[in-house]
Amino acid sequence: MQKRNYRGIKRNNSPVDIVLEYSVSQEYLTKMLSISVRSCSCQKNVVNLIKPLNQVRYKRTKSKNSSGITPQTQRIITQLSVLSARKKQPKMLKLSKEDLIKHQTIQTAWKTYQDILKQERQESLKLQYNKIDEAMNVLQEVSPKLYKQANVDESGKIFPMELRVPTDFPPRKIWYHEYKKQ
Amino acid sequence: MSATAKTVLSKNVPIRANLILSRIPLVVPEQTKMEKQYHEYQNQLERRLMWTFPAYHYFKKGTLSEHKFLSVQNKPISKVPGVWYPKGIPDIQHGRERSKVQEVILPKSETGEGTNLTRPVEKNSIVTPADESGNTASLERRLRNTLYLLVNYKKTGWNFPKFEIKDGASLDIIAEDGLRNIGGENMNTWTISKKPAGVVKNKDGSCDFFIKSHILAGKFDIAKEAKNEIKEYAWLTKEEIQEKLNKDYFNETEYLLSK
Amino acid sequence: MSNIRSLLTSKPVARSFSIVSVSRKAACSIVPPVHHLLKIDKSKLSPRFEGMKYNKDDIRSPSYRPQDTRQDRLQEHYLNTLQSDLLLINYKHNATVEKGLKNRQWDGTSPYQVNRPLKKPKGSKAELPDLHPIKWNNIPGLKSVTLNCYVRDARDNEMLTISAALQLQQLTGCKPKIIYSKSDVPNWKIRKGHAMGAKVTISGYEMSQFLNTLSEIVLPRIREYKGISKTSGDRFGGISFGLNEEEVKFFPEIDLNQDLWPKTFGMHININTTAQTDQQARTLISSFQLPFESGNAQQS
Repeated sequence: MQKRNYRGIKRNNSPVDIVLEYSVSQEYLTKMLSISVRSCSCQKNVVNLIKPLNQVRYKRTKSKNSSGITPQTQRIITQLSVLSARKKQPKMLKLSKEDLIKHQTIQTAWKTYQDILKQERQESLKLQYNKIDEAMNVLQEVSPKLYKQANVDESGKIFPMELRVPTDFPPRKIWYHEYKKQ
Repeated sequence: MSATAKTVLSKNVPIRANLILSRIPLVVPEQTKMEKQYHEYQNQLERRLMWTFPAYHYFKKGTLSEHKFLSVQNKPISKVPGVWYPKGIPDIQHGRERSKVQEVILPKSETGEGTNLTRPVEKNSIVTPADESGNTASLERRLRNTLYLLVNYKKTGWNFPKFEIKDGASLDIIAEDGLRNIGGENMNTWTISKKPAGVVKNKDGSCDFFIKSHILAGKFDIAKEAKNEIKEYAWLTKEEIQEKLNKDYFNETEYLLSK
Repeated sequence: MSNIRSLLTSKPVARSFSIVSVSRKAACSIVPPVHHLLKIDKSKLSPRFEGMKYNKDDIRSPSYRPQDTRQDRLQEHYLNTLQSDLLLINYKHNATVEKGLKNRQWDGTSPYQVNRPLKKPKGSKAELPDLHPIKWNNIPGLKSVTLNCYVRDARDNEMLTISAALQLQQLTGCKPKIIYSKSDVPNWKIRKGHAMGAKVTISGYEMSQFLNTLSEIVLPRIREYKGISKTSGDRFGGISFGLNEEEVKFFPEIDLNQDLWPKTFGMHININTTAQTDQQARTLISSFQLPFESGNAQQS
C-alpha cells in the first residue's frame, strides 16, 4: 500500500514554486475511503509537474480533523476519550526492594490495626447485646406488663432526618437551640 | 402457681426508668497520628496513580477559559534529543509527565479573590466558646465526642435522669415524659427503641432500666417545678462521666456510652 | 421400595446432569490416568507480564488502587453511633433462626423420582434464606451501591450510552460498564446485543461520598421530593429508587458544567446492604439521612 501523499501546490502562477510535499499518512476516516482516488490524484500530480497550474490554494478555514465530523460526533469522540485510559495512564510504580518491603510493612501494620479496632468494636457490641438480653429477661421477671409494652417488633423503624451525619469541620451554626414544641 | 407467686413478689420491687440522652458527635473523630500518616501515604499513592486530567473535556478548544487554565499550569520538561536528563528521560503525554503526580491548578479570577471553586476553605474552629469557658451545660462543646446528659440530684448527687414508673405507661414514655417534666418542653428527642438497653439491679432490690435516646434540637433547661429536686445538669463525655459517677456505678453502665 | 427411599435420602454427589455444573467441572480429565492435576494459566508463566502474577491489592499489580485514602465520615458515623442503635432497634427477645422455604424431598412412591431434582418449595419459585436474629456480628451495614442507567433512546442511537457512561463516571469517579440488551424484544424494538445503557458499582469511600452528596445536596434540592417508596426492596435487603434526568442535574458535578450536559440521563440507584430483610435495610438507609415516603416522621 502506498504510504505517501503527493500534493502539488502552485503559488504566483510560477511553475518553479511547485511544492512536492509528502507526509506520513494519518488515521483519518477519509483516507480509508480514498485509496482508489489517491492513485488517480497521483497521476494528476505528475501531469501538474509538466503543465503550469492555474488553481490557487487559499488559507485553510476548516481543520483537517473536523472535515465531515459533526459537532455531535465530535462531542461523543471527546466523551469516549475521557472514558478511556488511552494516553492517560501514568507510568507504573517501580519500587526498589527496600521500598517494597517498607510498603508491605505499612500495609500489614494498618491491617493489624484495623483488626484490633474491629475486635474491640465486636467485643463492645457483644457486651451491649448481652446487656439488652439481660435487661429484657429481668424486665420479664419483674414486670410482665412493662415487658409486653417493651417487647414489640420495631423492624422498619425509620431514623429522623435531623440526626445528621457528622461533618469534617464544625458548621457555622452548631446547634439549633430555638426549637419550640409544636 | 409458682409463676404467679413470683410476679406478685416482684411487683413490689421498685422500678425506675433511666434516660441515656445523647448528643451525637457533630464532627468526625480526631485521627490518631498513625491514621493521619497512613491516609496521607495512601492519598499520595492515589494521586500518583491517577489518570491524566482530561482538561479538553472541561475547557473547549480555543476559548478564553481554556487559555486561562493552560496558562497557569506548570509545564513539564520536554524531551530534546541529545540532552542528558539526570532525573530520567521525560515521558510526556497529554501535557503530563507520566512518572510524576499531575498537579491541576485552577486559575484565579482577576479580582484576586478566587471564585467559589478556588476560594480557600475557611475551617471553623473545633474549640467553641463553651469549650474555652468550660461551660458544661452547653450542647456546643466537645464537638468530636458524644455527650450525655447528667443531672445533679440534691439527694443522690450526679446521675442519669431517673424516673419512677407510672401505671399504664411504657418505659420509654415514662423516660421521655419525665425528661420534659424536669427539662422543659422545648426539646426534640428521638427514642431509639422501646426496649431497655441495660439494667442495674441495686442492693435494695430496685431495678434501674436504661432507655436510649438522641437529642436532635432544642435545649435542656431545668424546669421551675424540678428546681427543688435538681441542683444542676451537664452534658459530658464518657471520660468526664467517669469522674462524676461513683466507680461501681460507672463500671456497670460503661458499655452504654461511646466515645 | 425401601431401596428407592435409601437412594433418595443419600444425595447424589459425583454425578449430576444439570447444565449449570459444566462450568464448575475440572478443566482436566479426572479419569485415570490423570495427566494434569493443575490448570495452567500460561499468561502467568510468561516473563512479559510480571504484574499479572499479583493480586489486585498488591502494589506490583498494574491494577493496584490504594484504599483508605482519607477519613470516611459516613463510615465513622456508622461505627460510632449507628451500629449500637441498629442493634437495639433490631433486637428481638428470645429470637431463634427462622427457617426459610426449602426444596422438598420426593415421597419416594415412584422409581422415577431417583435422581430427580428436588421439588420446589411451596409458595416460592426458589429456596429462601434463613433469617438469623440480629446479634453483635450481623448488624446490617452497607455493602455497595449500583448505579444503573438504562437509556431507552439508545435503541435508535447507540452513542447515547457513551454519554450515559460518562455521566456515571462523573458522578462516582469510577469506571462504568456499558450494558447490552440480553434478548430481542420486538414490542420495544430492542435487538439482542445492542448497547442500551451503562452501570457502575461503587463501594468504600466512593459509595460514602456518593450517598453524602445525594442526601445533603441532591435530594434536598428536588422540589416536593416524596422520598424513597416504602414498597421498594428486593426482599433480601436491597433498596432501590430512581432519579429522573431533571433530578440528576442537581449533582454538583453536572450542575457546575451545565453546558457540557445538554442531555442528562435518569438512573436507578440500588443500595445493597447486609440486612436480611427490606425492613432492616430501610432502617439502615434512613439513618444516612435518605428520606422515605410519608417522611422520616418522628415516632415518639
